[in-house]
Amino acid sequence: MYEHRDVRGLIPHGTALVVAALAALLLLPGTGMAQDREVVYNQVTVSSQEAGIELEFVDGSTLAVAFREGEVRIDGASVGGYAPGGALEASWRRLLGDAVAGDNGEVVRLLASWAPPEGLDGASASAASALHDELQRVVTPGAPESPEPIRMTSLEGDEDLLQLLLIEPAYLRSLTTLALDGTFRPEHFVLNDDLRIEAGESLVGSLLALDSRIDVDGTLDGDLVLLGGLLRLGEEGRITGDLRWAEGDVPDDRSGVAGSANAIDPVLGLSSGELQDRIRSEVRAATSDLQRTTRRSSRTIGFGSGVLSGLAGLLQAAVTFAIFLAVGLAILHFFPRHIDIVSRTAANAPGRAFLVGVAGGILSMPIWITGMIVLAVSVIGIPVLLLWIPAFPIVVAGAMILGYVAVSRNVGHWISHRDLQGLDGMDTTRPAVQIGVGLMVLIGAFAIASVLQIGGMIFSPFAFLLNLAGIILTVGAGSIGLGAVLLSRAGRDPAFAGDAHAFSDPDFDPWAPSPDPFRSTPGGSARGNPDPFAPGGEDPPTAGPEADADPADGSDPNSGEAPR
Amino acid sequence: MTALRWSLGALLLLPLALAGGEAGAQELTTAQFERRASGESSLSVVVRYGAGEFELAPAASGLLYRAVLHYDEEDFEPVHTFSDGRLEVGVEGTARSRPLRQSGSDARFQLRLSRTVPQHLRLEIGAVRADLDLGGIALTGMHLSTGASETRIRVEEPNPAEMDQLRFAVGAASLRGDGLGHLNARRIQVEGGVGEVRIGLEGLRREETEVQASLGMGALEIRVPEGVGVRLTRSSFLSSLNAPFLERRGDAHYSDDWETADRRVRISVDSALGSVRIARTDG
Repeated sequence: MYEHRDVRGLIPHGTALVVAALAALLLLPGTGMAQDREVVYNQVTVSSQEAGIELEFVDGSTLAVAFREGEVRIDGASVGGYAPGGALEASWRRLLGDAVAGDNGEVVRLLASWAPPEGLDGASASAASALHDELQRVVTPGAPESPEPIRMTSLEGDEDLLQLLLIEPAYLRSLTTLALDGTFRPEHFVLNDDLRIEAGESLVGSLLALDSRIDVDGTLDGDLVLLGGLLRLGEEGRITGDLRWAEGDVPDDRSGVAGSANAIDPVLGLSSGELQDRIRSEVRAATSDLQRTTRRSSRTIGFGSGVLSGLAGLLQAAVTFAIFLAVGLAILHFFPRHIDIVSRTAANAPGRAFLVGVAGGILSMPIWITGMIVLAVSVIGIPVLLLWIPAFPIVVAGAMILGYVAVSRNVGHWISHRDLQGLDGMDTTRPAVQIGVGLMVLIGAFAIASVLQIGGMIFSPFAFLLNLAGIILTVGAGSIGLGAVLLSRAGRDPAFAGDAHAFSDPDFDPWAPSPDPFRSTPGGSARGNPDPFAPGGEDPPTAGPEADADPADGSDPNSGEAPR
Repeated sequence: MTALRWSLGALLLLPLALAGGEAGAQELTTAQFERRASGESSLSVVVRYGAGEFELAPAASGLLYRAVLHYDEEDFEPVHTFSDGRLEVGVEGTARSRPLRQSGSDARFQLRLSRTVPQHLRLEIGAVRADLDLGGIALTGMHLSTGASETRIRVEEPNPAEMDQLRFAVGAASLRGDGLGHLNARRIQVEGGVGEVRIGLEGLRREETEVQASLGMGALEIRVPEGVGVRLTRSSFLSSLNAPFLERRGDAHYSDDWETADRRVRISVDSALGSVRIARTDG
């Protein structure tokens, strides 16, 4: 099968077709192309409005390309238009996306290899052509270098090579592997022939042999790729580069090979269906790896979640305080008499207010539903039903807020009678200040718990206890407040509010300092108008339900209203 | 704060509902700044980043730096200047910035820095989740200043340069650093407000390293490799110390190999409220 040839008889010859075929297979894009100009700086911007790139070359020159508002601009000058969302813009954005996604500074290579999409017309086509030409001119100046001529030692003709590649697809796949690898540069080529390098002789350059017998008793100064055929390596035979083979016989003793010696793992020749399945499985595997990585990453970096949640809790407490303070000040401004009566009711009858509030809270939902049913079954009530459904919850929520703010004021008032540092600079006689101080106390437990949460696990028990205290305070204040609102009929009935209140004067300024909103005013009743929070002897004898103002005769001792 | 949400839920429902919901989907802008190394002898890097995710890692061969920013152009604009060996990069808010919750959630910032050019790194980051892989980057100094952030630092390769000072100033944040010994820093300084600071000195190779840590409230953990002598001095108000391998002698705590170790760490801790833990680690 092999026709022996001596290395001295090597004559480079061949045909353009084989040169082209091998060049295409063995020379990767770029390897034989012109040297890209060195870019020292690039800036890519991709937004909904613009997709552009700026380049600065090593010689100081620059290039700026921008797709913006339907125009393609090169160095600021328009070279044509593009259809937003069209093929040209999509291709350009994809290019820039690849440039950003890569992590190895491959912008120039990407720009050099960019080609406009087919099927463009009109302004888009001219813009794409101008852009492509400019990129080729600026990024890759000079014509592509011609590949090194491949010296062929033996070739029977084009048909032999093509026939062999068709008959032996493993060769083609092996060549593809070599092409993808990109490191093999054959300078000599042997096909279906016999080549001997005699002792003392050298062949300089890498050798590709297909279905050939290669005898090396001298030196092959380069790599050897053997596809089919046979390699015999003499005792003095040397291959200075790598040896790679497929479907061929190579000696077991490859000590004469200075480089690596490996069989070629040809790329797989898969059907389109098999290829699709393979891509699917690889995508699934990659996605799974990504998910695992993401989960692992989130686990490793989540050690300090207490800080963020604690800060979020602190912020939430602050926002809650601000909202309630704003609502409280608004109520104080617009309904000063009502909030005063609710406050007095909560202070004078806290036990009764608490029970009424709890009952009201529990019964509110059944009342709402019952109301809906009654209104629905009575055909005449259907129009009212449309109002009842949203209005009732709003009224209940409003009552709870009013009651909560009123109780906050009571708490603030109580605090103002304590000799506490930090309150020295405040005029705690003002109802507004009292509301603010009370809200700080009621919500403060949650805020402090959040601060402790930031401190880490060591403070968790304290944070838990503070949260528990906050819940108890909030539920208690909310229930008493709601009950006080119900007892006072939203602050309109002072029956349980103790003595006559300060707002009997219609010209009363709710923002002005008040000596004591729970103290009797001139003309107060015989009950003495007790201040339930006043220090010392001013404390009421009792503060429980049994002490609630509930005149035996049913009359209101403060207002003189008729008994109900 | 779950408790507050539940207990005040009914009352808060209305105002919170009126406060508005989440913003619409973000349209992120991508900006990349990439420069090849061209004979720079040193580099000073300043990073300013307010919100989002931040990732720092070594650059590919030949690159001086590479910054890729994904940000909401409605609220932020990129900052990038490079001159005289000084790089300033990051994003800054615009006047029309929305609340952080709405605008910074998907923002990302990837920074790659040269392995070969010696550089001083200054990071000023806010509400950021940061992942810093400093392995192999030539650092002569580093200053990390954070607000409410979660920061993870990994160093798995030695610093080719010698670092004078490694400084962390953390507000209310979590900071975790592994392999900080690889950074070859003469002094490591940690200033913490509230939060959790955990640093490991794996890879330590200097004969003498100084660690100064002050923490207002929270947990501080310092891991020292086996075979490294430790001397600890502490000033605290209400904080606990957990250092089972240290023995108190006079005003300081010493490891039993303090006199014989060829590498030593002097740790000074000032903690107001919280816990301090000094532990041994491999490496």
